[in-house]
Amino acid sequence: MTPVRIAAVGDLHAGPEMAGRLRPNLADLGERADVLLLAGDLTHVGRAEEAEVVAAELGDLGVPVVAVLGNHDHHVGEPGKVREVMEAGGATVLEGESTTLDVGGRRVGVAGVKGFGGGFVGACATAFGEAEMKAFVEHTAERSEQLREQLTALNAPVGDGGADVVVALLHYSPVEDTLRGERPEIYPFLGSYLLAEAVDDAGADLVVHGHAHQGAERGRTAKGVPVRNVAVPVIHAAYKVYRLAAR
Amino acid sequence: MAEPAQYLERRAQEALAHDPRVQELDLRVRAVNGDERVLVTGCVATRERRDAVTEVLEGTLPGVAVVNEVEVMPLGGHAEEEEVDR
Repeated sequence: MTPVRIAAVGDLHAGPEMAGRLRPNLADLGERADVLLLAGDLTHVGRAEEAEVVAAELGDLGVPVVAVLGNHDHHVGEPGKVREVMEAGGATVLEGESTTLDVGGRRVGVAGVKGFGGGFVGACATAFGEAEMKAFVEHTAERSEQLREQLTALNAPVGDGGADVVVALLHYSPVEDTLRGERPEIYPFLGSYLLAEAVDDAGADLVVHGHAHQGAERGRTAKGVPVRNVAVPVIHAAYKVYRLAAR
Repeated sequence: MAEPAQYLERRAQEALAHDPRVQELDLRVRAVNGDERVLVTGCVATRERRDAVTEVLEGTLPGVAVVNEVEVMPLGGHAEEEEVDR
């Protein structure tokens, strides 16, 4: 059986001036991939008109589009509108949710969550002290728990709603590997080990994320799940295709 | 006393994060030769935003020369496919 072809990209940071510039670089995506995953920061600052540019550029691509939002998509305080516009354009937007797709007789499951920061083992925040610090850590913990639940469901037998291929789609990074190149002092703002722990507890075949523009493409969780940073400045292209054999 | 370079750099980064012409977090600003020049590096999505970096910093740091080495995100071409090894 041929592998499932997952196209992925993050951090498009689209604004009105990008209209017409992205689509020419996606012209052959329908021939090269079975699904397109968007790892957040779809827009510049989260305005509906910016999301409209993204939705228009990705319209009628010929493959399903599944997205999570990123921090930039939240900046003006209207992530719901960004989501609404993207969904009206045909994309599936996930926040603590999952979706399954049929690809050539195989079920591909994607669990998506933006994630948040907090850092990595040995240099991470703890829910202690001020309410603001507790809120910061607990936000990531809650998102990680949602990811764990969704991945657990996708790892059920296919007959029970599970999938043959399971992908975790994030904006923030679950591992330090894919942050190499960023200043270590800002790792706590780029991701959290809690996200990786959720992936390792529940299982996944691939994790993709964005956010870390100066990071590295490749990494692994502690249990060896492949992690890929698909931010545009990292992959140097409009998208990259990852081929995954079904289990 | 002239403004310490670290505060000048931080003021520049704050301006780049908040000015609506740029609104980018990922740009690095480094003062060169004291406070005579700043070097800006990083990556933005469009050439308009790259050009706006110079405008914003010239407004924020009058009298300081801006060396704009910001790149525009490479959206063209295909990245090599990967056969993911579980």
